[in-house]
Amino acid sequence: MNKELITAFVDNEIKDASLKNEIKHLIDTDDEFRFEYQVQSLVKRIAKEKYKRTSAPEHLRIRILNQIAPEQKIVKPQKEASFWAGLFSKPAFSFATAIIIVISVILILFNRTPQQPPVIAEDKLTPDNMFYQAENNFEAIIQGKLSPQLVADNPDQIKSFFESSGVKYSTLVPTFAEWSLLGAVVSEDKGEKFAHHVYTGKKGEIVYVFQVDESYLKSHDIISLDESLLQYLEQGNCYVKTENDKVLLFKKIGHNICAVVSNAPTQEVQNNFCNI
Amino acid sequence: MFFPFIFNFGLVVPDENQRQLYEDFEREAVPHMDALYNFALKMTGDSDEADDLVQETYLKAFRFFDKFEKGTNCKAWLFRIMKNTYINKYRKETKEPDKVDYEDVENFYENVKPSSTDSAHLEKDIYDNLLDDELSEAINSLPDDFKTVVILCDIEGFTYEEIADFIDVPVGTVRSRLHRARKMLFTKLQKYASERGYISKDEK
Repeated sequence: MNKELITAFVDNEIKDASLKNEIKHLIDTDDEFRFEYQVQSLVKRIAKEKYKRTSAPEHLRIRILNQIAPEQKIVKPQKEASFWAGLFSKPAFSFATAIIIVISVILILFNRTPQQPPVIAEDKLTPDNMFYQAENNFEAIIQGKLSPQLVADNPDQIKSFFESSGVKYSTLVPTFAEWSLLGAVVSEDKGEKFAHHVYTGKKGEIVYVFQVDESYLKSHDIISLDESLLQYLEQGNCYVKTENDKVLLFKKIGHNICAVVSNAPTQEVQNNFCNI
Repeated sequence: MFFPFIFNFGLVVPDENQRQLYEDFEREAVPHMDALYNFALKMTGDSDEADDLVQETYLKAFRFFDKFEKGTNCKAWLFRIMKNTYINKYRKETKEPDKVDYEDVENFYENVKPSSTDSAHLEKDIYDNLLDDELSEAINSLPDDFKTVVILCDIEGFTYEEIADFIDVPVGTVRSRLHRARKMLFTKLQKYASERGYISKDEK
């Protein structure tokens, strides 16, 4: 009998019951077949138990999940949806309700204050969102998980570092009376480099700045930002949000969209960055 | 009904089918990403290309997930998509198959017969002491044809038919390659065990 059948037996690939019995008998009675069986089953078990797969990198997992979800325009079910759908499904209400809604929307649009800051639904931000990344990076700095790649207090040195590290856009590293420069980090995503720098105050407060050329945010390929926020910044506005002793500020400076996250006093951060 | 179609476009009613499809995909396909990436890395030999290959595989798989027959082997289905993607896009030049002298493999193994191998050498406990890295290294050092069948069968748990379909060879060839691949692995593992003193060198 062909000894390769032992391999098939070990892999549970023998479907014929009589052949199976014949192989079992050979394993029990013939040394060579028993040896073959022991080797095949031993190696199979060891390989299964000890082989170490190379895991998919986290950035790939996130990128794939992000690309899949928007492609199908996943909308989480909302309680209101069934109400509206129900309302429209009733013939007696459908036309009148629709007219009221259309008029209401028109009125809202006409009465809207154009300078009103957008509301960012933070729970729906995806990892490629600049808002999300800025907050996360700041938390990482505070927790000591993200250290500067360059420690420097000279703005020109930091700008040269950005340039030599492959950041393709011009960067802005202003200096302030209240804070001194601490250092900088260049991050990489899909081969593109992004500039981050950090200031520190006399009381140990941290001011983190993440700047991205607006073209990246408009193409959405690597990094994104809510369209409403982008428009708001395009109009020259400064977006400021405070929460739990932390201030998050967005401002367009030159061609760059800058995200500033800090635990310094809000007014101080606002005065310094909104007036650049 | 009064003109319901005029306003239907404005309704943000969640598409329950699409939501369900996404949830099914997340549950059935996404957990196999490590297996696909691991194999993509073996195929391309480059982490960036493996990234791209896995990404493209998942995007295609999601696009056609409604065609996936529920209850069948999702991992095998993903591997098939990955193979086709690889052939169509990444393998710019037909790769010359590894020149493996199967006779050499057989002859080498013939030296390790029951008569020359202490039965104690077949105890699983001996090999349990080997490092995971040593086993992975032993598998990775196999010629491509052998490495592929061992990974697909022993690590990924595919059937012979699924493997045959994946590598485009008859089922008998899969069995034959596995048979030889495990023999080669056994000799490699014996060597490691011997070097670490788990088996006496004299006995080997």
